[in-house]
Amino acid sequence: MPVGKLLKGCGFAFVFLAGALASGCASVPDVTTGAFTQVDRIDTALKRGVSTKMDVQKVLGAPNGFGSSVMPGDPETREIWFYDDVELTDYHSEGGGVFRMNVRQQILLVFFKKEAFDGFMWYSTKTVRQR
Amino acid sequence: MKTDRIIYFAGLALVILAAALLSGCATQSALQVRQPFMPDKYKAVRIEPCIDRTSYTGERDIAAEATLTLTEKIRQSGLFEIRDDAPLVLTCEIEKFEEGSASKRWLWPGWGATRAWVSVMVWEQPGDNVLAAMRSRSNVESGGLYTIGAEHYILGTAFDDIISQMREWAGGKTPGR
Repeated sequence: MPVGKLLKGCGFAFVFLAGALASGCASVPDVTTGAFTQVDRIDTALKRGVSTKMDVQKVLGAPNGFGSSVMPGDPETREIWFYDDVELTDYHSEGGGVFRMNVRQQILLVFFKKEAFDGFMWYSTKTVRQR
Repeated sequence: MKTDRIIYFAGLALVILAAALLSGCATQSALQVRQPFMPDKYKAVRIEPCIDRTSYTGERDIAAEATLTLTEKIRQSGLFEIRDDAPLVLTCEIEKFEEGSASKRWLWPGWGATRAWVSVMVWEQPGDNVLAAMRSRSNVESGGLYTIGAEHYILGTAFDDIISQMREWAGGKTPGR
């Protein structure tokens, strides 16, 4: 009965594959925008009014976005580099098709005045990171 | 006759499934243009050594490999001459590198993925003026044993995509478009 055996084999393979794909036992998938920008080095590695854009690139990497802004009280335009990092840290099913997810996010803005590093601000949800 | 049909469709389904699982490499690109390309002015580049920002702990010096690969790709592209005194500077980073495993992803798509994420910034010197930024993320997440060796060509795939983005910039892509 080679045909019967073949069909049985195919059926088993499909059942195994479907079971594997449908099993909800997977660990947290690697869903991230990449390595997080190291904000803890900014204070020591960069100097306001001295460090150049290339210095900033060496410390923080390539930004995700570029822009410019005028700050209140100072009419001079500042260039801004934008860094954004997001990572899925944990998720689990609550039943009924509902999933709860924990996400770590970090946003960093770096300001330049006359081509020199002029300051930064950042926000992170690191405190609620569970891993 | 009915059995033949079942076998035919089962075979077809297996072929489709195999094709889906074997389709390996996917690349995501992001090009940001800050200044239009000026062909008369931008003829030569200097390439800075790539910075490794990964947590890769293997035996390979991927920063050196990436620098060499980028240099070769630029040379082969014919886009720029490579000169130490060039006014254009390319900085490069490896943001993520995972060697992965062909046998793992053959068993389970997504497991043992090979990844190379790189970014390149084009600067005009003097003045630290950023002209363009390119990012490429190449992943081999599924595929059979024919994806053995992906860890060796994945950097080249990512830099091929960077070169394509440079061509797009050189071809007239302007800021905000």
